[in-house]
Amino acid sequence: MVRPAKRLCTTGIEDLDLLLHGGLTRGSLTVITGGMGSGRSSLCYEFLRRGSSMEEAGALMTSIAKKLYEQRLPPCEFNEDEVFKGITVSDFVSEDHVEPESFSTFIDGVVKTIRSGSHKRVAVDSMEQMVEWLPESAVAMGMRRIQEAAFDEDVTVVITCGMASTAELQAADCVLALGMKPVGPDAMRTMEVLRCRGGMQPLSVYVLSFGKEGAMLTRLMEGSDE
Amino acid sequence: MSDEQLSTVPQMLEESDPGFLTLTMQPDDYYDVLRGVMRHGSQNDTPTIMVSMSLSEMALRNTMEKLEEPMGHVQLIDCMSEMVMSPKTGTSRYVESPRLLEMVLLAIERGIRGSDGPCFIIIDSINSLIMHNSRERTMAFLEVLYNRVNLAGHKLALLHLAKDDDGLSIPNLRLISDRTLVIE
Repeated sequence: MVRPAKRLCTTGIEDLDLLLHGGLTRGSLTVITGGMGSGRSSLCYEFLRRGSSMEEAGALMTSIAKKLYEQRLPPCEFNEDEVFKGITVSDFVSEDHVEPESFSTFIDGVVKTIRSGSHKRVAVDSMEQMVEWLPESAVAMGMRRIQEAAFDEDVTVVITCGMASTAELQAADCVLALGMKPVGPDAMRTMEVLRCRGGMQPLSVYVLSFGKEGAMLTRLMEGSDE
Repeated sequence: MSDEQLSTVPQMLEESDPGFLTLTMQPDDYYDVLRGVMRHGSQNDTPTIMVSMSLSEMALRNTMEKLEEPMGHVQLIDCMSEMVMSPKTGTSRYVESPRLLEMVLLAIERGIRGSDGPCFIIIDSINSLIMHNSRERTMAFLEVLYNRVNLAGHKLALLHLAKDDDGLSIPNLRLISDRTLVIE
């Protein structure tokens, strides 16, 4: 079945939109998993910034201070004054051993941002430490609330986490898994589409690169190096 | 190679449709063919992207300067300078090694996106590709490149130095390219 074009949220990352057959579904929840340095924040930022350039206001909820977040981003075409143009940034303190009640308050904040009507794209980067010690039921409940709010308000939401729990993966409409492939002393960032709109995705792994022109993907070459 | 012979390279390229071309030459003609492909780009005012897996940036620029062949119109993707620790000018795109084929593809893609219209892409050379990568990875790389080139009407010239023992028989290259041009 071909979805009407207006129901898709173009990420603005050309290669990713091709892989996702046009983009993410509007009003959906996407989980980006991956370890430290794998590019989760950069991908989140690309999603919001490209949306802003298409007149779709974004909200970034980050677990580290705005200035520190900015330092993590790779050099891009946007100048210093315009890095967060069109993006509302708020930070939240992510503590270890968060109690379910505190997590629920945090989810309230995310839902409030989604339901405010001010943004078409929302990114939460990241919930990793927060959910690590919580029971799966609490995480599942929180994710469901976010998903419902996103669907109701037609807001496309992206959440990053480390090793995503079953609850996070099951709740998501789309799952992008980032990784690092060692190459000599360095590493290449990789990306897989584990799930998208419930459909089967090609099993190829892609190399993800961030540069001045933005994020780009190419297929990881198969075959051994020897 | 005489001047007359040298002018046949851009002429042959001019007469070829966009697509994947293999240019097969004898090792002695390598630098002249290199001049010819660069000249094709400048004569047609076509954005030219060159992937160098044989020579470092400085070696290539110095050689072309001595041969009085301008390179100002060429976007160079240098895969050798890091490996051989050669100095860089900072005006090219650099890939750490000819084995990082994904990075080469991304560098080509950035070059294409930064250009107006169809590009002329030169890969120097299949011999170096095969030397640094397995046959499987080389074929995967060429497959991805082929699809990319064909989708948008670019022209790609894959340089091949014919040697008796290189295992790259011309019939094999004829399978992967749209057309093989033999420079004699």
